[in-house]
Amino acid sequence: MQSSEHLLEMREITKAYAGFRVLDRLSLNLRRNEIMSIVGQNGAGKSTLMKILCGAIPFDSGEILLNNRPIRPKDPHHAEELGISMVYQEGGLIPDLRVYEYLFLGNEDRFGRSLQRKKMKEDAKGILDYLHIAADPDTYLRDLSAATAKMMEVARSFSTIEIAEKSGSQKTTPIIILDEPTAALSLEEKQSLFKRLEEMRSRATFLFISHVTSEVLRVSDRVCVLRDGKKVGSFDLHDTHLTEEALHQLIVGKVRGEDYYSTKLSKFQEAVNKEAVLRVNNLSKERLYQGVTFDVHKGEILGLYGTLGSGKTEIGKTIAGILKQDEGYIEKDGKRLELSSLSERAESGIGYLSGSHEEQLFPLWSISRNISLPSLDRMLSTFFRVIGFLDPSKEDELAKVMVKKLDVKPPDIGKPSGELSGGNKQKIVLARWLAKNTDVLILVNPTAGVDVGTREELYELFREMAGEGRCLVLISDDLDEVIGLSDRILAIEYGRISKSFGEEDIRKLREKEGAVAL
Amino acid sequence: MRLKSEQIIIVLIVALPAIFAVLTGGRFLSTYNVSILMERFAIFMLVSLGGTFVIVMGSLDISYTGVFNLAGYMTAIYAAQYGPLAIIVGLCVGLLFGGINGLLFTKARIPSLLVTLGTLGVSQGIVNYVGGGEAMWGLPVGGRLDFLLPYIFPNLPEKGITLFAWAVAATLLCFFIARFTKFGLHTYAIGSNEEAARLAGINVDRHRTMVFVLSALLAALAGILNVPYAENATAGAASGLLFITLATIVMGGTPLSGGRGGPHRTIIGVYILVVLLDGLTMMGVGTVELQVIEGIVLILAMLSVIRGSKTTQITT
Repeated sequence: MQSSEHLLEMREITKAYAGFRVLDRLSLNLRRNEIMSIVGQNGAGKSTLMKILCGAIPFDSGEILLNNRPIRPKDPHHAEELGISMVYQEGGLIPDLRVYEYLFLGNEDRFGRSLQRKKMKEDAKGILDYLHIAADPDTYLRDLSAATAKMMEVARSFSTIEIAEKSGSQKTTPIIILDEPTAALSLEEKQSLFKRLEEMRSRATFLFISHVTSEVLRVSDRVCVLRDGKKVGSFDLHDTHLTEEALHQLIVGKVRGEDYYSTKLSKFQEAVNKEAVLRVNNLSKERLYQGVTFDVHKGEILGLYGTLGSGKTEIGKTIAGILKQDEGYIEKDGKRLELSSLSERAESGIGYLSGSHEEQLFPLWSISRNISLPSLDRMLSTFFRVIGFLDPSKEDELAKVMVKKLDVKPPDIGKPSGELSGGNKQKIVLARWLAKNTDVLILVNPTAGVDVGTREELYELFREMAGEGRCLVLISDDLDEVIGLSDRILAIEYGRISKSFGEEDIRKLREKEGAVAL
Repeated sequence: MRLKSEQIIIVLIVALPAIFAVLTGGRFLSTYNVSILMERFAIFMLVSLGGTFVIVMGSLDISYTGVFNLAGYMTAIYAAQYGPLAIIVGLCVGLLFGGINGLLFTKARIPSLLVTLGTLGVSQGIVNYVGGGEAMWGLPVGGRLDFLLPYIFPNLPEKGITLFAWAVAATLLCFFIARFTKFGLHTYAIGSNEEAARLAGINVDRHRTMVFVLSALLAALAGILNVPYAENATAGAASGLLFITLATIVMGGTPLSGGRGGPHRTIIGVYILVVLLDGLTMMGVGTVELQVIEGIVLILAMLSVIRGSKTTQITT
């Protein structure tokens, strides 16, 4: 067989958990010495793909060819023998080690029982030179810049692969998987990391995972977009000009055909009067967002839109009390809210709903209890209220009403919430806040991972809730969703409000149907 | 066939006393020994209840033996002067140390194991300091605190029986708090998923502090009740109970990772341990050997829990 241009080929890889396909016949190939980016939303299958490649989990069907020979990584060590190593998003570094100690951590045996430090340092220097990393092997990791430290993790992957291969047989171009390497880096550090990655490209093939579209476009040779476990497409950036916005749309996908734009605007617009319920004043947080000021009125759905990494999510989390702002304040009904106190927010009527229900629900608890949890004060038993006894029948009563109102399927309030589908889990979290009479809801990607049908139901519920006079702050990566639901949209760019779209603008946007105009 | 841990527990509950009864020729089930068993059960149960709440919450409290000793000792001292009112002093000791534990844990973010290790040292140190040599031998209280342990069962004129009644009452109360109150639900919520609890609007820090206060109050109550029962107050009254109590809680079925188990499970753990230790003592196993056995039981308890749950991470 002649050598193919592909270093690695994945053919129709499928992986399912409990019948649910997280990877669906995914085919992907890697060339030698390229930087290939894998992008996609949470749950698109990126991390499953990575874990399969580095041997952390097995795959169900399909095959992986490395240099035209089928492989099946059994565990991370086996993957390293094959020449595949992963640099995790965080946690790989040990600040109190010196560079040379770190590079050979776990492989010290090579240097004899008494550790020939001199040899270790020489070898470390060799690796660093080979990878064009200018650093002294004697330095402590804690003294390195964040970008150089990240490079050290890459260098360690190199040394591990090299050592593993020596004990194995053949030599090949190493494949190094970088899982969101820029997550903790500042802007300058990112630039420096990218520059060095390019320099190192002649030595390895990189698989780059990132959420930030601008970085992906800047650094990669090719981009592969995943959505719902399937490949949407892969693009050679040297041939194709892909804009950030286009890539973003590929990642989140379009919600086609549904006519939620057609709902009469006036119907829920009526409820809007100019009473500001929530007032955000000059909110700033270093590196995330600056000088954000806006009001949200009664009965209004305010959309915040921006590309991934624009800071819109963090603004929402700050309003919800999860993050703490450095400057500025938030007022609700004219009352200033304390810094970062979720329980105070909940008491004053601010609820938070995000796309990741696993961080919001108690999967083993019943639907009923998951709904009543923040409202237990109203669930006290009539006779024993003094000693704080709860009356489960009151909880069930409340849950029944909510389950009916939100049409949770199945409507079995005793069922553990963990057994529900994603969309129904979202309904439970929503029910929780409705039950507490929450009048401000912060929705962050509320329909992520929800099937199209249930998604429509959720949209209907959001509109209904606004119609009842609540205010909703909708923060979503899905542009159509934002345009379709919002009464007003604020565009967020680099942590600032760059543009505001009123009723008229939105009407026009809706007419263009999903036009990418921001 | 693999036995589930539930089945093993049921077998142990029935089989242990039966085995000991056979091995000791029936002495194990004599009226006298059963009353001893009940007294020990009462003490162990009172001491384990507070810790159970803390572990359900996913934290650890090991300061209770110190609080137990200090509360008992202070109550004994003030009983000479103020009589029944002295129990207030004892309960204040609990309140104070519980508050300190909670605040250091939630505000200073020191792991709970270390916080309570520190307060264990402080509380025990205060008893030793205040009591001096006397505390070693025991401070007699006469009958001044006997009102706490009245002869409620005229046919069984034993203080131990009343102590047992206290333990039953406290256990029932704790069980209902854990299962049927907002306080209890919040404790389970924090133990099973702290982040989700926060997002549901639970004031996690405040609640944690309150659970530490409850834990220390229960330890103080146990310490106070122990004084009239033992008829004196000693500096080391509860010191031997430190690890054994952790073992009873975990063995009963409250995993260190939190979120599951509860006071009703601790009953099982206490029962098995009390029967085991008492039975072994009757068979002539010495105190030193018992210590080794206690240690092994603790390790086995942890192992069974870790094997039984997917998360092996211990959140302190």
